[in-house]
Amino acid sequence: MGERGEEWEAVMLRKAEEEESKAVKKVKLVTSDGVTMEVEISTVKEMETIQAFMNATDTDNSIIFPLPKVSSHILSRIMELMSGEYDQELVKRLSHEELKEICMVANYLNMKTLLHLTASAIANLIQNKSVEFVRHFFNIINDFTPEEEVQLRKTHEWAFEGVDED
Amino acid sequence: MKKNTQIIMKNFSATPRSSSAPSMDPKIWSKLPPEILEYILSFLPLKTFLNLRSTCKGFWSLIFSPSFISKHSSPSSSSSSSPFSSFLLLSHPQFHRHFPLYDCTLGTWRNISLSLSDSSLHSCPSLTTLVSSGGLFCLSDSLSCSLLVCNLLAKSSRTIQYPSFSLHLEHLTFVTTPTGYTIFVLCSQAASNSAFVYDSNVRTWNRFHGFGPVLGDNHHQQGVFFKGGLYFATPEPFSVVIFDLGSGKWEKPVGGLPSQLTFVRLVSDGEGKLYMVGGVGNNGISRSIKLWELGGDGNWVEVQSLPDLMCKKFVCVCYHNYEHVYCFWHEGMICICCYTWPEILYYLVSRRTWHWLPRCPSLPLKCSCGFKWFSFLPNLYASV
Repeated sequence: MGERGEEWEAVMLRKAEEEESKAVKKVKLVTSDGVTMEVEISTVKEMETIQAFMNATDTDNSIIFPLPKVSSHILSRIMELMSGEYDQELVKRLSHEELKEICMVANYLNMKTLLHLTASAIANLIQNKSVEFVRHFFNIINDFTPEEEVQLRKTHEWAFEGVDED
Repeated sequence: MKKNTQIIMKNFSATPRSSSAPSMDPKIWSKLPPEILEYILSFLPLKTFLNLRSTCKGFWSLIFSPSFISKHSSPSSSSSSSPFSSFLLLSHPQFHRHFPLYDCTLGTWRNISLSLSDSSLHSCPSLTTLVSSGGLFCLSDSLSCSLLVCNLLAKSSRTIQYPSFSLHLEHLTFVTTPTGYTIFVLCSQAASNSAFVYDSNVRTWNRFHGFGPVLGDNHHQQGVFFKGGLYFATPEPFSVVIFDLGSGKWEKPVGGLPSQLTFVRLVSDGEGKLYMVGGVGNNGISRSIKLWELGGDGNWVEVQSLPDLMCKKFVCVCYHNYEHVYCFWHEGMICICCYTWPEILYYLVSRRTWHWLPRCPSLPLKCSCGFKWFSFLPNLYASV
């Protein structure tokens, strides 16, 4: 009876240790300004770039992942968006600079939901804007000659006349 | 013809442009990686983006990038998914190389007509015999013995040589399918005639036997695509014949036609219904004009009669000469046209009502005949 009890205890202890090591396993993200942010492994699941790295290096130790292109400010914004389940309202409150940075990071870390959300928010900024506005907005050089441009603008004219821009 | 897809961003330090609103600060949005910019732009509705196409050369060619095509070419051909209006296009000798457009979505004539300003179309003055299907048009150039298939929205075109050097092509029929298009022609040479079918997926003509009796009395009427075959109505004695596009065989359907017909035209809704429009009367004089639908048993079931007053106007318009009458389907409308008359008579299938399409306002009051109408559903990704 006594022996079996000890055996039982030993099994439970081993199980608890295993579970602890699983639960404790965290990822440390080091931002460009030297801040280390410890995040749950579940958080990283959406960051496919990091996930792929973790799958490749199957280690029990906690992982340190440097993010030389991401500032701590942007990373904490991303965490807010993730915990807020990507609420559109949270996106609207971002400054344009934050929006652009988050979009770039989402692309870099291959975070599909976040990339989708930010890219469509940026698209909304140029929705129904003129060619001139968009050139200025993205700082794009017009590489058409004036003659070409006049001709090209006529190309789709018939398709849109009298139609509300949507 | 690989286009330059590079989008050149200005170096903002070199171009000190004053910007009033903070959102316009080019420092923020310049130098986005091209793949992200393309991804962002793919979120714009296609119509909105077309308006921005002339931003730069990179934007111009973006609509044919794989991500744009997969995003904007929906596999279903239903019009509800198309960002464009559907149009009826009028071709008339008095409008040289441009076509007034009736916008069926808005129910008005457009102020801007569609012009064939494209240089490749400009260079051949002998183009005739226009036929259309979906977003594509097929033109015939008898001088160079070739057909030209073009997408007027995408500004793309393809030249296809006639299947034979016979200058006489008849019953040019053009059908777009979800995977491409099919062209059918009859060529008569001496005593024999042949049917030729062009399949855009394999880009070749196939030759089949022609059909002995005359097919149709009217060169404005195309064959009607229905359940894998092309349906034609023959002149008196009226009958329907089918050309099976798969086997190349000619068949006759089982059911007979209604009696006392004065003319017969066929229309397919493209989805599983075949209609027949015809006059009923004696000695070639129509007393009424009726619409039938092909029933499951192969018999024609009467759907509606054209109201008396409209019927009187229509037979007046034709002078009891139905040679010039042709029909086609356009977005829930059965359009009945007369080569000599500037209005279309149409039947709205969903409402079961008949209407006259208003005359094009840019037509002069006195104009010659030669009214050819086409269904036009702009589709950027309908490939030629």
